[in-house]
This record gives sequence, structure tokens and C-alpha cells, in this order.
Amino acid sequence: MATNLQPYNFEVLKPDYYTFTTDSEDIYECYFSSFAAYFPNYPGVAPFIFGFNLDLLTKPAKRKGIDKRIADTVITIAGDFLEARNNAMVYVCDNWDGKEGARARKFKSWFNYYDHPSSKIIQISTSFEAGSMMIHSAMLIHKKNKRKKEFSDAYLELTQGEEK
Amino acid sequence: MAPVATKAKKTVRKKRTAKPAPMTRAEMVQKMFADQQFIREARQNGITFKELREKYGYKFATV
Repeated sequence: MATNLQPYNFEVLKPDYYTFTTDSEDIYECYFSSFAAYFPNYPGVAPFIFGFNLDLLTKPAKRKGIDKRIADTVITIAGDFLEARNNAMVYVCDNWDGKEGARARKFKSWFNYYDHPSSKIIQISTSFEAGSMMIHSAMLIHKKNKRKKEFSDAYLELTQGEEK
Repeated sequence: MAPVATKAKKTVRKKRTAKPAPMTRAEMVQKMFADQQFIREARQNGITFKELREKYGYKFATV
């Protein structure tokens, strides 16, 4: 288990994504895909809403315990992205292996536990049903984002609004 | 006085283009979810971001 709670050095492969390699040689990439199309009722903020993706590119290495540096790295990347204070990110938990609930709890805990830079970030977590699927997701916004109310309204309408 | 037949107005019926019904909230969420999975799998299969943008129409934030 990593004891050095520092983020891994990550590379920014402009213009599209971030990548980092853990001590166990796992390679991850992070990128932000546009979610504008899913918020047609909020044209003012829709172009600034992005989906956050964290993908493991290698076969997961066997390791003892939890590598907390992964969380620290993801928080740093997300913090950098939100620092511009004009955008918001949405994390949707993948459900291919039935572990979406665990992913949601882990993601939520990452942003609740760390002091930096998550203290600058508001997290709105939701679990909801769409069709026959249970979806766990969260929106992250910088606390000093001037349009945080619009962002959260848009997100809550999509995830909790009444069917029209 | 004999009644004068009024000329029937020629009306040109406007061709209606089929407007797709707006997506329901559930459909929108399912599309969001499906898109995320598609992108993830494409990346795992070696599809580049350039291809995802140009061939599939996805957009990404500039980092």
C-alpha cells in the first residue's frame, strides 16, 4: 500500500486527456466528454458541463490494500479542471460488473475526505432510476463558480426531475 | 342576378417535416450512459480521440 499520499505525476496529453501510471504499473487515463446534448433546457450552461471518465488501460495489477494516491491524483486533476470556475463535471458510475454502488461510494468518499482541492468543490450525488437501470452519479462544481445554481438546477432536473 | 361561382382558393399544403419527439428524461439519461460506455470501450479498443470526434461526433474538453 502506498504510504506517500502525494498524487502521481500525471501527463497532460493535449488537447484531450490526462494519463498516469501507479506504483503497481497500472495505467489510467482521464478525460472530459461534452454533456451539452443532455441538458437542452439549459442552453446557457449546457456547453460547460462535461462527463468525467477515469479508465484503467491495463489489466489491473494485484496489489495489497488500497492505493490512495489514485484518489489524490484524480482529485488533483478534477480540481485543476474545475479551477477555471466556468465549468462543471458529472461522474456516472459504470455498471458493467454490478459494482456501480461501490464506485459511487468510493467516488463520494474521495471528495469528502481530502482537504485539497476538494474543499473548493461542491459535490451533488444522486442515485436514480432511468428506464430499468439504477444510475449512480455526481456533479462537481467549484464553490466559486458564479453559475453553480444553474449547473445544479440542470443536473437535478435531469436526475431527479419529474417525467414530462 | 345569377350567382357567381367563387373561385376556389388554391392552397398549397405545406409539407410537414417530421419533427422528432423530444426525448424523455429517462431516454436522455440512458443515452448519456450509453455514450459514456461507447467512448470507454472505443478507447479500450484503441480508437483515438480524433476518430471519436471526427467519425462519431463526440466532443471533449480541451485539457
